[in-house]
Amino acid sequence: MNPKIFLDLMKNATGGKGGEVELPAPAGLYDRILNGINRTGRPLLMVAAMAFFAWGIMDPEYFVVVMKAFSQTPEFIASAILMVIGIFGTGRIVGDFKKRATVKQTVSTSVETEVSTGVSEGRFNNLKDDDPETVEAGEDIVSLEPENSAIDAWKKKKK
Amino acid sequence: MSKLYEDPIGVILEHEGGYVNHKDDKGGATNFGVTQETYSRWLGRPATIQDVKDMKVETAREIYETRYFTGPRIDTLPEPPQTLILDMAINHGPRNAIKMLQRTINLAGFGPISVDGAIGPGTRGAVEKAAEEMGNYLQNAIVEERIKFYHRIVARKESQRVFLKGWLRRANSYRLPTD
Repeated sequence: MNPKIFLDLMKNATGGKGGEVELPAPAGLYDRILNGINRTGRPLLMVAAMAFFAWGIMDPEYFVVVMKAFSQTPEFIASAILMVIGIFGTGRIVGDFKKRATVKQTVSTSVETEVSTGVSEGRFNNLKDDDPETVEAGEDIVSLEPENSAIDAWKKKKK
Repeated sequence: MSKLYEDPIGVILEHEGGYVNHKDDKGGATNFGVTQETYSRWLGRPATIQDVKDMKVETAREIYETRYFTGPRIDTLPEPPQTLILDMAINHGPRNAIKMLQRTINLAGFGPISVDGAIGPGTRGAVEKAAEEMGNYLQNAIVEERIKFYHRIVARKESQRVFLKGWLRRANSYRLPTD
């Protein structure tokens, strides 16, 4: 379909406002609380990483003690923690992309349905009367085929 | 008959929506489908974007009525086929709608009148005579011309075929019963 016509139809389908489309139902209270907790993970990790360096500068003596304690920690435990953090971060990113794709799909399906219904019902005035193409097509009117079954039926009845 | 055919101007107003000012829209600021340029002509002075934004739906209706109904003198035609011609004027432009009417009149033998897309005393008189003698056949004959015109549009531009089914449904809904 011509993109300009499609944009016209989309404008018409949404009443020119571009927002009257159905979105997925909002999440319940439980989901919202869990989403909130999930969303705090990444910012907290970032703040903790910055605070870690700040702590080393502000209290070097105690920081050294803690670092010594860390160095005693078995390597597999450190690796496991890093792995958990990695999986958590990646999972959130993938989840966000999926959610965006669902919303986009829902919006586009809703507009497409409205557009195709409007087109099949002949509701859309996609023929703009002052469009040069419409004006040009008007020149063809005089050369349309002369057969007209309604006129034939009327003439037949008149006889 | 659906609202579309009872109040075509009302439906156009609904579908054109409210205020839009999109950079890709050739018409610039538009409200109810009325462009800033059209509104300037209507006001008799350059309309500002704020003027377009503040336009009332009644004003838009008046503009549509002037442009498609009283301006091209479609209001002076008998009913039927007045509503059909109005719907055609909104869809194809008043000149093309009137040309199809004039062509139908000539085909039915009530002419010859000039197919110039303007309603004058000659066209009006011939339409009145045809409406009186042909009754509902006149409206059906105009519907047939409209359908031929739709097919011609598709023949000129294949990309328009997607709309053909809807156009034909719209045209055919104007057919009237004949005994």
